Order: sequence, then structure tokens, then C-alpha cells
Amino acid sequence: MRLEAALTVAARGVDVTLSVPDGTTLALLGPNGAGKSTVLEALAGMVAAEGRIALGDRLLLGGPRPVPSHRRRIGIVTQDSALLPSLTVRDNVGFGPRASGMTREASRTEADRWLTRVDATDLAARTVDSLSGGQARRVALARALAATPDLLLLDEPFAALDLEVATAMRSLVGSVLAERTAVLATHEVLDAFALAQDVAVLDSGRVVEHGPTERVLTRPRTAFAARMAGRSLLVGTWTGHALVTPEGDSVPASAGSEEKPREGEPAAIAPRPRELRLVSEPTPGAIPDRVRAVEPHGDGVRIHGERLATDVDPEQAVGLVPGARIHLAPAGDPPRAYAVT
Amino acid sequence: MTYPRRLLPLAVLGALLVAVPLVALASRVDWANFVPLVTSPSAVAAFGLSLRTAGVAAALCLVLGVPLGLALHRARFHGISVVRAFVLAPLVLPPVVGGLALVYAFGRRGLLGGTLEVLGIEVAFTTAAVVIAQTFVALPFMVLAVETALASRSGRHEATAGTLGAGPWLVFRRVTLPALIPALVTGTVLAFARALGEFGATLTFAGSLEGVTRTAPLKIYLAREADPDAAVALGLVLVIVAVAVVALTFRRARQGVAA
Repeated sequence: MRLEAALTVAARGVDVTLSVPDGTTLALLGPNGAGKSTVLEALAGMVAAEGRIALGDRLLLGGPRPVPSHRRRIGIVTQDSALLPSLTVRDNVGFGPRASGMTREASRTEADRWLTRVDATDLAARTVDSLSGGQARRVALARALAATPDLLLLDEPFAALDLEVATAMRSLVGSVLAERTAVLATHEVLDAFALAQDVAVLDSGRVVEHGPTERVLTRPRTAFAARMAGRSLLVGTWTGHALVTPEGDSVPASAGSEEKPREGEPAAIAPRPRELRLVSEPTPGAIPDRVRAVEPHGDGVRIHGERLATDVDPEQAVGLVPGARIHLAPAGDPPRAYAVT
Repeated sequence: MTYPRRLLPLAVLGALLVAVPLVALASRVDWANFVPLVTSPSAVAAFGLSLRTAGVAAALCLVLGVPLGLALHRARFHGISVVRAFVLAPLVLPPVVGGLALVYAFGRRGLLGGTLEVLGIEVAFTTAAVVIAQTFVALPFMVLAVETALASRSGRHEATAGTLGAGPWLVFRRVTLPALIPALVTGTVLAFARALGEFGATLTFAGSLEGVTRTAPLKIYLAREADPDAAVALGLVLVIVAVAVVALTFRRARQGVAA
């Protein structure tokens, strides 16, 4: 079922417009504190919001009065899982079916079916307190699914899990999301690419970019979205073979096949750090920059410039203090330029 | 946590202030006649009445106190603190004043007396009056227990249950109520104990009619001159009940904190 939402939660500084076509997943991508949880909770009716929410042909918000959460048919898996401690795992999962009027017996059968779906049958008789974080997340997912929601909301389903557990959870969520309308809040680009057709990038309670995942995360329009995607953004004018920045730097680039830049029109490049390298002196095509911050990254060092970022070996980073002048040049093929409007 | 030693004398003094009178009471018990004294027909009648009325009062506190505590917790309007102050006033009100207030509310010439009379209900000086007086003084204990327990809840479980399709009543029954059970046990026990010890409001509002309104505390008060041995024996029984109740309740409370 299609979701169209334009909602405001003034108390938390959230004001977003989202749209999720039927049967697809939208990744709500943003750093911690951007308001992802608030957006999900407002959709589910757990926090009060203003604006308009339409799910399928039902108006959940914006009508005479807000539809209460228990009539929205929106399921949510929160980061804390929020399993009910007074019930066993099985009865937690059976809670939705039971609330919809099923007998206790039928709801337990239904619960077992969903526990099988998330590969957690062995947990059925357990108490909530005895579950690990990953197990609780699985059970919370089964519980949300058992209530047969029209829209599924997942709040950072892989956060704070061990590597193996998170990987297993990713493949489970991937199979669950197929053909389902869902919103997945995450701060990981990987999740957006692997699980979502569309992405909305959230910065301090606002959506700064909203579109197909591949487009937004490989050809971003805003520096914020570029940063979330692990890229730098350089905007300028396309000359046919180079991007000329407002500062007057000319960066050789090739025209990408998607959103082909046109001569004399605004264009951008969004190189990854490893697509650039540090050069010792100004060379044609190198972009001048100043060091903003130096950060250990993997087995190397990431140099954050004011405009771009690159990865270098530790021995190369010696002497690169904030404010130092550097020059960055493409490490291999010239970066791909794309049209921006 | 370390304990500053200079506070110790005051702590001992405080403990003695409470303990010495109780020990003194126990020292005056006529042990030879203790069993006959506490099993005399009038004593049994008084204890029986006390247990029945306090039991009903505690149940009433449960039935009324949970919705009231929930309402005070959820209410978001100006003046809610005034409402709360009125509801909790019996905690600190002299019981005799409470009794007087009840007389003017439910008594024959009271605010509601006329209405009740038309309905053929007479409250004052009946066992019902005892229960009302006890509920009046004990209800705040339950309300406080419920409100305190609710204040420590984030409401996330309730909100999540809502997204699973549970309406407010179902959420209350299957999420909030089970979580409140420890608080309800504490509240009920405290309300029962408070009702069991009720004296001033009962005497003022319900009188002292043997078998009808003469509860154990009233019986002790009456017997303290005519039959001091009986008064002491009955008093000791109430002390034992009080200590047992507090021991049980606060053992639970501490476990609750630890858990």
C-alpha cells in the first residue's frame, strides 16, 4: 500500500515529506539524532504529529482527527524491541493476532508460524528477559509481522548487534521486505543499497534528498547526502571535459551516462576518498584544498579536506595538520560528472 | 556506602523511640490469660469485624485507586495538582476531621443524606460507614502506589502494544496492569493495614456498636480502662499484624528496587 506523508513534530524539530510506492522500501538515511526514530514513531502514531499521512486510500492524519495507532495497521520494530516482559516470547508474537480477535490457541499457532519465519522457533517458550539483543530484535520483527501490517517500519534493525548476528538479521530483513511496503531507518549506506529502492536523506529533521537509492547515493545533490554516502561533492559548471568550480579550479572529468551533464550548465562530481590521491605539488587537474581533520580509517588514514576527502597511508599523513595546504588528484579514471539543477 | 559515625546516636535514639513503647506494651501482657483474652466473644467480634471491613476497604481501594491513580498520571490540565492534593489529603488529615467530613456528606442531614434516604439507604452508624471511613483514609496509599509505579514507566510498551492493534482498554489490561502488579500488592497491603488501624474517622462517622461498627481499635480504646489486660492483649495482636505487614511489604519493595 502506498504511503504519502508530510508531517511535522514541532517539539522534536522534525518536518519531513516522504513517499513510498506500494511494495517498496524507503531507507530513511541519517546520522544519529537526525530524527529518524521520531519520523517512524509519528507514522505509527506513537508520538503526536501535525500534517498528513495517507496509507493506501486511508487518511491516517489530516482528517477530522488522527487515526489512533491501533487502527493504523502500521507495524514498527523499535531499537529497544519493546517486548512485553509480562508475556512469553510466543505470547508477545501472538499479541497482534489476539488483539485482532483470535482465540488464545489460534494466536499461539499464528505466533509459532511467524517465529518459524524469523527462524526463532526455539525461543517460543522463553521469557523476554532471557533473550539477547539479536534474539529480541528477531522476536520483535516476528511480532510486528504477525499483526499483518499494511506498512512496516524498522528502526535501525542492525544497530548494536554483533557482526554475525547483524549479517544474519540483514538477510532475514531482506527476505521479509520483498514485496512489502516499508520504511527502514538506518545510518548505514549499505542498508540503503541492499534493502531499499528509494532513499530519503535526513539532516536535522529535514529531508535533504529523496529519490531512487542508486541516484541519491552515487550522484548526490547536497554535501550532506554526499557525506552520508561516503563521498565528497564538488559542484561547478561543465565544459565538456572538465568541471570548473566557482573558485576557478578546473577538474578534468568524464561525462557519466546517467544524467549526462551539458556544456555550460551546472554539474557535479562526487568522488569517493579512494578515487582521489594526494599529490605533493600543484599539477594540472589537481584540486587545491586545506586539511580540516585527520582520522584513522581502517589500516590507513582519512584526510578530510574542506572540499574533498582522501585516504592515504599512515606515513604520508605526517605533517598534515589542520590548515595545511594539499592537492588532490584523481587516482585512476577521471571522476564522472553528472548534471545537477 | 559508608555511614558517618556521628549520626549513629540519633539513629539509635530514633529506633528506641519506636521500639521501647512496643516492648513496653509487650511487657504488660498477661501471658497466662492471653489466649482467653484475645478469644473472648467481644474480642473475636471486634477482630472479625475489623478483618471483614478492612478487607472490603482494601478491595475498594484497589477498584477505585487504580483508575484514579491512572487518571492523575495521565491528566494534563491546569489544576491537576489541586485535584491530587484533595485526593491525597486524608494521608495527613486528622482522621477525626475526616470522620466529621463524612458525617456531613453521608449522614442523615448530610449533603447526600437526603438523596440516600429517598433511596432507602442509611449509612451512618452501620458497618457500611466503617468501610467508607476506612476507604477514605486508605485510598491515598493505593493512589500513591499506582502513580509512583506509573511514573517509572516510559509508556513505550503501551505505545508498542497500540501499534499491534490493541485499543486503550486492551493495552491497560494486558500491558499496564500486569506491570503494576507489584505496586498493587504493596498498595493493597498498606491500604489494608491502614484500614485495620482506623480509629478516629470510624468513631466519629460510624460510632461504636458491638458487632456492627466496633472494630478492634475501638474495642481496645473502650477496654483500656475497664479491662486493661484485654486492651494490652488485643493491642499486641495489632502490633504483630502491623509489623508483619510492613516486613512483608518492604521486603518486596527492596527486592523491587534491587531487580
